[in-house]
Amino acid sequence: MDKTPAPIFRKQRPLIPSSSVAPSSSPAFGTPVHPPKPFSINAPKAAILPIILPPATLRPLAFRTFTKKHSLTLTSSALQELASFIGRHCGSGWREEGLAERVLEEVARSWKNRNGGVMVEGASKELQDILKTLEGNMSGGKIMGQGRGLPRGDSMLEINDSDTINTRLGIRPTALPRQDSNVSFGMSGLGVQEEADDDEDASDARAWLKVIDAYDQPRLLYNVDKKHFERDTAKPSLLPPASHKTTVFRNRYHVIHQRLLRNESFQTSSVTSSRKHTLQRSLSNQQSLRITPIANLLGRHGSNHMLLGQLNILPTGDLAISDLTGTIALDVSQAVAIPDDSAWFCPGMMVLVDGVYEEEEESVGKGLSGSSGVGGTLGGRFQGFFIGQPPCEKRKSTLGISGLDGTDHDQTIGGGFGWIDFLGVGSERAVGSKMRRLERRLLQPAPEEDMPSRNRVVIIGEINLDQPRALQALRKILSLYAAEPEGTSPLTFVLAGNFTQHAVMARGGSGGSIEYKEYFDALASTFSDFPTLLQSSTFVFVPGDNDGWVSSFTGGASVPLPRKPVPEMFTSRIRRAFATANAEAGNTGVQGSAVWTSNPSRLSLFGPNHELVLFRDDVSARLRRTSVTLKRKPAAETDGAPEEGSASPDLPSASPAAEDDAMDLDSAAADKPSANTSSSLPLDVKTAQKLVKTILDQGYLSPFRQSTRPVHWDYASALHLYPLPTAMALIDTTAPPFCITYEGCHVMNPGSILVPGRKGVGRWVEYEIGRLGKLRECTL
Amino acid sequence: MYGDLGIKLVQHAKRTQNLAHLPPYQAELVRAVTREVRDLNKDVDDLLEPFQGSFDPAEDQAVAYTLLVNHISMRRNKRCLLAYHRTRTDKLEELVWNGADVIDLSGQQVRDGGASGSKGVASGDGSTSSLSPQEEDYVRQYGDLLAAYKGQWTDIDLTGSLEPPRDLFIDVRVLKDAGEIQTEYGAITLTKNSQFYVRQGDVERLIAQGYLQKLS
Repeated sequence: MDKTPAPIFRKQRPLIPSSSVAPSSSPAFGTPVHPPKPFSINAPKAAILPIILPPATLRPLAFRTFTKKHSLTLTSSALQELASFIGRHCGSGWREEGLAERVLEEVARSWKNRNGGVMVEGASKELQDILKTLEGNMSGGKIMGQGRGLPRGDSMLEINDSDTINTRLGIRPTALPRQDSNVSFGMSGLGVQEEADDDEDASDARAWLKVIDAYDQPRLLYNVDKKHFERDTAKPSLLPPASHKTTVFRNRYHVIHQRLLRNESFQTSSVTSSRKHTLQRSLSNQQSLRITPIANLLGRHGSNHMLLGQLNILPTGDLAISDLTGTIALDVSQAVAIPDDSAWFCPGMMVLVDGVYEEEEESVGKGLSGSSGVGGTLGGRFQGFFIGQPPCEKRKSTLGISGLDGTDHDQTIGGGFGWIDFLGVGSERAVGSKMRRLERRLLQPAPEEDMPSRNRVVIIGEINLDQPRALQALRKILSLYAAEPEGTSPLTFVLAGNFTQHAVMARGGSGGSIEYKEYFDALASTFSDFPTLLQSSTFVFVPGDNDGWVSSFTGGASVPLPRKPVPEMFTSRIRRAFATANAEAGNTGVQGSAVWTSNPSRLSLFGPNHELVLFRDDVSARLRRTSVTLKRKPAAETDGAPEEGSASPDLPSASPAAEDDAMDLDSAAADKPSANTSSSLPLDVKTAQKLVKTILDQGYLSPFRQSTRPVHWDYASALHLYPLPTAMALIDTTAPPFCITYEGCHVMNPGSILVPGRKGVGRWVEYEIGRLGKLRECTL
Repeated sequence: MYGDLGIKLVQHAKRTQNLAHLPPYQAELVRAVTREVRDLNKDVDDLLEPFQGSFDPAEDQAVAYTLLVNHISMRRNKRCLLAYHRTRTDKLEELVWNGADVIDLSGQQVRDGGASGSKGVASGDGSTSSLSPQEEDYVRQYGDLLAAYKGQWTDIDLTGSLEPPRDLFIDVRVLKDAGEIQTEYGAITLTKNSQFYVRQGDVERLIAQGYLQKLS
């Protein structure tokens, strides 16, 4: 991006603006020097001769489109960008053939869809993104596959007469498809067109692969009044004021709360009261659940309630539950998890507890026990009988992408957050369909089942570079992929830390900074043996807790999340290896690159279409360590319900319902076997399911107390898993390796590259984008 | 009682009519009302189930009345919902015609609004409008339609003020930095606190968006 002081002083644009980092092989260049891509068969036709278009010439047209039509204000720099773009892609026919008008129209529209504001700034990231996306969709000066893009743009004159009449009569014209039907329209409309102009491949799919650092992610906060997410524009800081700590908690609570209220079992029925006296019908035992704010418990001794709150530990060490209104001591010694043994419960998690409030008869343990009613802590105790994770919500329903499986109306109360740009890559509604079109064009799956295809992500975890065998295993894995036919090498390699066995630069076993640099130098020399992979893939490096700099003062303990990437000074040699490989190939397309990213971070492919969360953390060990003890199961497996019935007289009415609902929720996750069958599953699978369910239900990557796993308050929104990502690489060496789908989110754990206990075996996960991951092993 | 929630919606709609801005969407109320309709429908189904399609109102008058009351309640709820949404969409269309669309929406997704640097027409009176996600969708699509409509006659500003201007050129003061911007006949650089003598047509939009202030 240009950082020149003022746009006026800038020289006339060179032919290629800085916006396109790498010149694409679009037909605008008409240069055949580019290496032919595997699926471009025909030669480019209708080549456009690029021209230099002075901004002043474009001004009247641009003004008409942007200001008059769309009420946007163009800055000079934006006009310049547009002029060079149009000059490059529409050529001399920009005015006569009406090409420029379409482009401008599309840009203005996309700008509005991205909430760009009234000023169209040339240097802004949004404009660059829009132009880049447009570039991929251009062919011979025209925008291809205009699903609903332009028919409306060229004023309504082109809409046929019957439509016009319909519009006048207030009937929706057929040429303006609804958003839902848009997908199918785009597809069918495209089928023909794509066959017609499959002349170009625009560029590599990797141009749309974006690694999003946790520090660059938009920080979104949920606004309860507007029921909407808002971007936090305040400047983030690593040492924020204390109020931001509560914001973290409140935001987590609100997000889960609104998600929960949309759940079918929390829909209050307005006519239940009038139906009480009627016969016990089939629908009246489907009782709706209701969440009680903790402060409302006061003075309601012995009544049954359901609470949503965060598990906490009081200063005395007792367990408590807090929500936005108050805190109350919680007794879970009699509580049963619903569904049985399906998730972990730790302090710091948001949980649902069903139980009875017991007021204190005499004040025992005044003061520290937190029962004195001071500071928002209510006196008395909440006796929990059932404890459960707040059920999570599918990505589709969060984003309001209906029509795909929206057959049953009861379940599809969507969040409708489709317009919100969660990752800074464009929102689902704004760019989703365009990106899907691109994806279909650029990323074809393998023609046959067993053939390797391009759309793969290789995930390798725990590469301890100070262990020679780890490097050996890595070399072996890379050589497997290097041996595959050209053009089918995986899109991305995700290499996750810890890159050393022990905390580095902490006077531990893994040495200081010099050794640390040497490890990476060794890695670089390994890489340079595989130049084809370096040229054609993006390598993403996710650090662990043992990596610098943070390790130097945490000594391997859990570091604050999100943590920054490994410092550049250690990794310079690896960058150089990539640069050398790219230079050797004379690669003009998207070059192979090494991205050092934060932990956690996200990988977005084709905008919001694929979101892969990368997270390296030993979550399951921490879960096991901090988990609270619930009621021990009796040896003979009996149903818990009768016992609870004796504990509280008014419980049986509510508890079976609660249990039913929780079971329903679980079985709704079709991909995951329900709890009933889990007893027959192997232990490893069960552990994995428990871990995945816990993390995804929490919707948060670090559901622990701040003292167990610190979180940078201002960046906590990067840890939210809402909406659910399409896939997640949870690299956890303390859990068995797995690939599990839960509520439409595919979670993979490759474990450690060196399989513990088995000598000479390397293990990793190969994830086919949009499909499933599979565990692979090799012998060294 | 049946229909209690419906009347609340109507009251909200009534109130909205007299406000300059748009109060938040009553998602919970709307959900509860649709829920009530669904429940009533289930009730009706359950009531009719034992008759196996051969229901004679003259024989079972009690059931017939129950059905009638349920049916009327459902229809009333539906009308309440329609009334509420009609009021809101009318209001939204008005906002779009006033040119508040993009400003309004961008204000929506940025916290505190003030930092976004844009004050819409609707937020001129100190309170901001808030839309539900579906309404946001509606505003966007309506804005698209309006843009297409305006696109046919770009010589006329259809959303402009109906009052004829007194002068072709006016004095304006810049309230916010915006850099160099393009107008129909050239570029002007907006630096804060500077004054210009410009064509009114060029800057009307900027005045509405709060970048410029007209000096009388």
